[in-house]
Amino acid sequence: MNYDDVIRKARDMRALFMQEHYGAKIPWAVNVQKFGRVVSEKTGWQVVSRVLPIPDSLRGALIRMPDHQALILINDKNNECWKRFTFLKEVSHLFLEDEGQFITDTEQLASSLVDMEMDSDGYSLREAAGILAAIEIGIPEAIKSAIFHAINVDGLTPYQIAYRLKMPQKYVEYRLRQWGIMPDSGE
Amino acid sequence: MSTHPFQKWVEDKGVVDVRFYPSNPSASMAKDLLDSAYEAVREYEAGNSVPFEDNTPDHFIS
Repeated sequence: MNYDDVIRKARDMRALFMQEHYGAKIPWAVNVQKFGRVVSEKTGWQVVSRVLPIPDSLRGALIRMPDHQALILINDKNNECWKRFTFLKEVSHLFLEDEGQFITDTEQLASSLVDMEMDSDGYSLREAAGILAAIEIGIPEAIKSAIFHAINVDGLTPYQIAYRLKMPQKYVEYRLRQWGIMPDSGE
Repeated sequence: MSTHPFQKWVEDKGVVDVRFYPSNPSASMAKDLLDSAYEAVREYEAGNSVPFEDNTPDHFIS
């Protein structure tokens, strides 16, 4: 799967969700839990998401069980924005990848994520796909003009935009740079 | 090399797919991620977790 496919799938799933939950209205921050319910309906994976103590090296994890339960574990030390983003990243794997792309060799997965030279199967690229989809859902192209207005007319900072979107400032700034609207003061 | 307990857990449970979201991959070792994942599933199985809830209020652009 290339990144154009990732973006297309994320936009398609977001469009379905928006249609079902918001109609013509466009929210700043989507309710990711409701988004997860739509993903569950469309993919057949029963999403069970839990917040719990996890050592600092992991923000979260997705574990797909043989009974079609998708367990999303979220580190309780994440703030609310990161919890929401982590959920979006993990739930996105459910519609991005099917059986042919499943990973069960967790030792190879872990090695691939910390050392690109060990990543012979492109596992880190699959993780990046989840992040890319989460950005597309939480900081969508569809609200670019509203964000542009908020920055250039209302004078909001990237932090304030992140607060409105309830998304990590790191990825809001990534998006603003991608769109060429990162304010000078935020550089 | 012996199998990590998390990998053994994955095999014992018949897990079909696993994904990790590392906090800082360049500052971690593979073993850190596996240890964290194993700790996470042990906490989950011990009942030490709460449901994730998104209480974000609707605030519309239009």
